[in-house]
Amino acid sequence: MSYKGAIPKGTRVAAELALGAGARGTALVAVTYANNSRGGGSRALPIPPGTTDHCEIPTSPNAKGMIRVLADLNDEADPATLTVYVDGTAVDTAQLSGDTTWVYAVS
Amino acid sequence: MGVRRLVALVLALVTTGSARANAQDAAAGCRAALVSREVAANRIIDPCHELAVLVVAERTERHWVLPRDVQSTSAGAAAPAGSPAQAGAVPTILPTSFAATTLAAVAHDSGTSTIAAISLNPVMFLSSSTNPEEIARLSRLLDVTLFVPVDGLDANEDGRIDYAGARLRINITAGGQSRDLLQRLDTAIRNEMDLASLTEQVFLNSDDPGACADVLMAPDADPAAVKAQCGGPVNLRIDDASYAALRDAARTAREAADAKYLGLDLRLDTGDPSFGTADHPPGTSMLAGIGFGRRIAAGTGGASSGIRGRLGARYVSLRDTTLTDWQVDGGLAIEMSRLIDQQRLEMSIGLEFRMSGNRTSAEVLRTRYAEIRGGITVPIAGTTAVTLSLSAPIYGDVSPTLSVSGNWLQLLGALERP
Repeated sequence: MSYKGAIPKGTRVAAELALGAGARGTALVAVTYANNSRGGGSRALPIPPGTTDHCEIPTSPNAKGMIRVLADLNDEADPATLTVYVDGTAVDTAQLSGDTTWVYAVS
Repeated sequence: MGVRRLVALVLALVTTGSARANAQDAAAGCRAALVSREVAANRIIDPCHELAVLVVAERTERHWVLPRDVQSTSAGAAAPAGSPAQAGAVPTILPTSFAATTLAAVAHDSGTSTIAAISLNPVMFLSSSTNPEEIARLSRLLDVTLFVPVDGLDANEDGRIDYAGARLRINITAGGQSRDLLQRLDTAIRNEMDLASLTEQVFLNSDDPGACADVLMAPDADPAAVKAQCGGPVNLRIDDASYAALRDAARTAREAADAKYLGLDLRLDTGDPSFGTADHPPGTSMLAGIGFGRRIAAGTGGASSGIRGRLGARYVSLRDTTLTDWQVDGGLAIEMSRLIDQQRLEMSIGLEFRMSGNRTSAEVLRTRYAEIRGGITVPIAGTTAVTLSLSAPIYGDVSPTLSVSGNWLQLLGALERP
């Protein structure tokens, strides 16, 4: 199930992808957000093999919304770990087995 | 207060109270539906909004992720660049991801020889299966290649290895944002948020939000069943074409990052490149340069082409003499590749040169020459391939070469996987 749970409004959400050195090629991590005040935004970052990086996005303190995190791997067997942070605290982490998307409600 | 005003006030209070009770009932129903779907109670804040987001997430998940059907093999093979066993023209400086080996049989004016090369990503030596993040943070995108002739390390029996070399490749290219991808992400999440807002209103007005959510998440939801369970029609139509375009944009952004590079090319050679079988004095040379590459037609598969180039400064000091020389060393090549059944066939052709001001000792210093180089790499299975390389001088006194090499890429890669 791609839905992971609720995140409080007004927090900063970061999606971090750690791609193993044995990966066949560059991966992509993206975080995209929209709220019911027509606000939102997206960030995306290529992740070369053997590196870890993240992209993050702030959420509005005044509107409900939803956030989607996407990890797009070069190959399904590429070793990768996806972690989502809310205001610096890890809320979800998993070793991936292929492309993965997680969804959060912002409430 | 008049009777009419009193009645209006009572009606307003009753309506508000009734609405609040309905909202509370809906929230309780949404919360129960979330818990029944194994959402942790401590991760529920606004139940009907979150149940709506869950429904939209489940209905759209299969549009975001599909099984991978194309592999990219941009990582470099073990490349004894600048040696007689060099495979192709202007080898890439993209490091190998984990490990790679090459065994090359080389023919040139001085005779024949066999050169073995191994490339390792230093991350391997720091790897810890329990802390991959630390390893990834410590590593840069580089590899080290070592190569030696294997058919006679000391043919002239002077007590020294006749020829050996080392290469260091560092990729300093930084990834960038893809505007097309960001716009498509914005559009997709906006559409999903609109669907979630619509669905939340349905749940707030529904007698049984859980039953409504069940029918909305069914693969082929019957409109009559939706109307019956949700109290009215609900249209959660998904635009398949927009998601397909988004997946393509993500894949293009990822492939584009692999399609270009800029980095450092550092080389150290010791000995005599003719392996002691010709009258060339041995020496030590060091080269520091910049390498770049750009795939012109990067895509999700099929044919692609690009250019590769390098330029550097080389210092050579001959053993047993006082001869030293500073040289300019570089090259420019065109690469072409085609993906066939998930394996990449590659060809390259280009010009490589080395120049300095020393005309009288050009031959012993191996300078003041230009040559045409080309190569073709044929995949055998997975990341194993065979490369045929040729070089022919067009200026200066250097030997033509012919080499056949076998390349094994990421031989130890399976050890990295959790």
